[in-house]
Amino acid sequence: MKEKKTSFIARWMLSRLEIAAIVGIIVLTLAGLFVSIQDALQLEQTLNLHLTQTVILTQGIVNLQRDVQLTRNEVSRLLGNLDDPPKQISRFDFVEIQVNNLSVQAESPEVKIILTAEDQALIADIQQKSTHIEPLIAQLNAETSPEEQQTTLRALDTELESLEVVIKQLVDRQATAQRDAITQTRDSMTSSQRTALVAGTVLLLMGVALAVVVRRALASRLQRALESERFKGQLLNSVSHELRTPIAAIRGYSQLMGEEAYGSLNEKQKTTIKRILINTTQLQGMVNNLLDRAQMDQGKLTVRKAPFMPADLIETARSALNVLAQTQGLELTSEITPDVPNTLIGDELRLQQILFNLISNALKFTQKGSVCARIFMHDKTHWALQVVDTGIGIPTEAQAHIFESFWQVDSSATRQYRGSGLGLSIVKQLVELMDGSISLTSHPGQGSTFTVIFPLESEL
Amino acid sequence: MNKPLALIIEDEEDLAEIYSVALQSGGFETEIIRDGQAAVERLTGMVPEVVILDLHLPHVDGAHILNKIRENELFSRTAVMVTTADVQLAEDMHVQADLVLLKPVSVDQLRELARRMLRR
Repeated sequence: MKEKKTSFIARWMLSRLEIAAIVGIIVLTLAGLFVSIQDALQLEQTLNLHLTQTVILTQGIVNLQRDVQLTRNEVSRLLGNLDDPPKQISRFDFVEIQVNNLSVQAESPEVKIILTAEDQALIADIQQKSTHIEPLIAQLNAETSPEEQQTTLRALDTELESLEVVIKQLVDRQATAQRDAITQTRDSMTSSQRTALVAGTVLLLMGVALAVVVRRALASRLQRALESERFKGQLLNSVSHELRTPIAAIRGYSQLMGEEAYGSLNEKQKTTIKRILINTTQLQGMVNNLLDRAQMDQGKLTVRKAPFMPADLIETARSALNVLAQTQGLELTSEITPDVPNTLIGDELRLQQILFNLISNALKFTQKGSVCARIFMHDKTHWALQVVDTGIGIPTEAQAHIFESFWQVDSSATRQYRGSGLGLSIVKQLVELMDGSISLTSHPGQGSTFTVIFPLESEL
Repeated sequence: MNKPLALIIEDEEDLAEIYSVALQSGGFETEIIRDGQAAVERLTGMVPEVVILDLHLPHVDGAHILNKIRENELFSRTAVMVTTADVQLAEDMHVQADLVLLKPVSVDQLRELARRMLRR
């Protein structure tokens, strides 16, 4: 029973550990996933801001480029038609506005971060060049000769062209920067954040898959265990029946023949029948003990309390073993003291098993004399079952081990005293199952007394 | 004086024979029935003093027969001794049966206990 309980606890703990492991994996996975997503989002936010600023700056530069272009177109048109006034360069106002915007943007902290030294140098160059244009425009508007105007227009065109070149450099750089920003966002996500994101997702999926696999494994293991237990139970019942029935038949027929129920026997036949009977009884005892033990290991042994008559109990065991005692030339007696109530409460079948085992054991180790089974009141609240023999006795040093499974006083003795070594261990287990206690007093060469004490129960 | 009647309801031929011979030598008149349904039918025409009842029987199981006996006033003086190798089943029968014997049941055991039942 204890082993059964231990293995059950072990299984229970194992299953708890597995569940804890699964929960752990899931929690870690979720935490990892959460952190990686947080990081990825933060990075993306930064890169998005970077990108937005780049786009705004680029837009300003493109606008400037467009206005410089339109101004150059105006200059070209004036150069092709010098006779036709007004000689105003109206578009230049826009160029000035765009250059101012660009200067303001370049100074803003958000944009400043993304501008390299080269960018800043180019912007400064644009500002510088635009200041060269302004006096030329003023000169153009002055009342000058067509030749002078043409010279001014050409100078203006050269300046605008020079400005355009710088702007184009900046536009190219910004386009690259924008592309870089996009690439950077993607690359960053791929190299670190994306990896974390993917890893997190994979871990989560693995965790879920593992949980499913473990759950299935647990379920199938439980199923197998249940099937195996059920199978063992069925096997045990069937083996129990198949073994006990033929033994009962052999034993029954040999006893009836010994009683000459089938006709008279000569002395040799009578002796032979006795030997059959003794051997069958031993076999029966061993089979019973092995089957009882198997049932105990199955955890099938339960105790049911009901009223029973002590006289029935003692008579059932005595009558079952009387023939064996007689065959061995031993006296098997029984006694119930008058203070014992007519009815006791307990599990009569288990008590039968206890008494049967104790008497069988006593008969086995007694060569001459008697075996007596007694029921008496131990004190006011306890009744006792006692088996006293006049057998070989048990050495003091062996008395501590006598209730252990498969233990016999002397293993070399097993040839003389056959048995599985299970009988007394089963008795002890049964006694404890019924809240009783068992004790032994023995003197080698004089005999042994086994006393089992149970609490007296008056009501169910 | 008529001998007391013991009805042996047991499907194992050998055991039924052994019980029968043992009880006869113990002063009983005996009858063997090896099928559950046949036992139910037979019990409508007789009132035995003792019934030796196996639990694993063909067609109708021993528990059902025990119920039938206990429900019927006619059998109020009939002692039922259940014999089985199945401890679990034996436990279930314990309340209704007068005595439950775990197989194997010895000749002496059966004879002496059946006599005790008669004295009640």
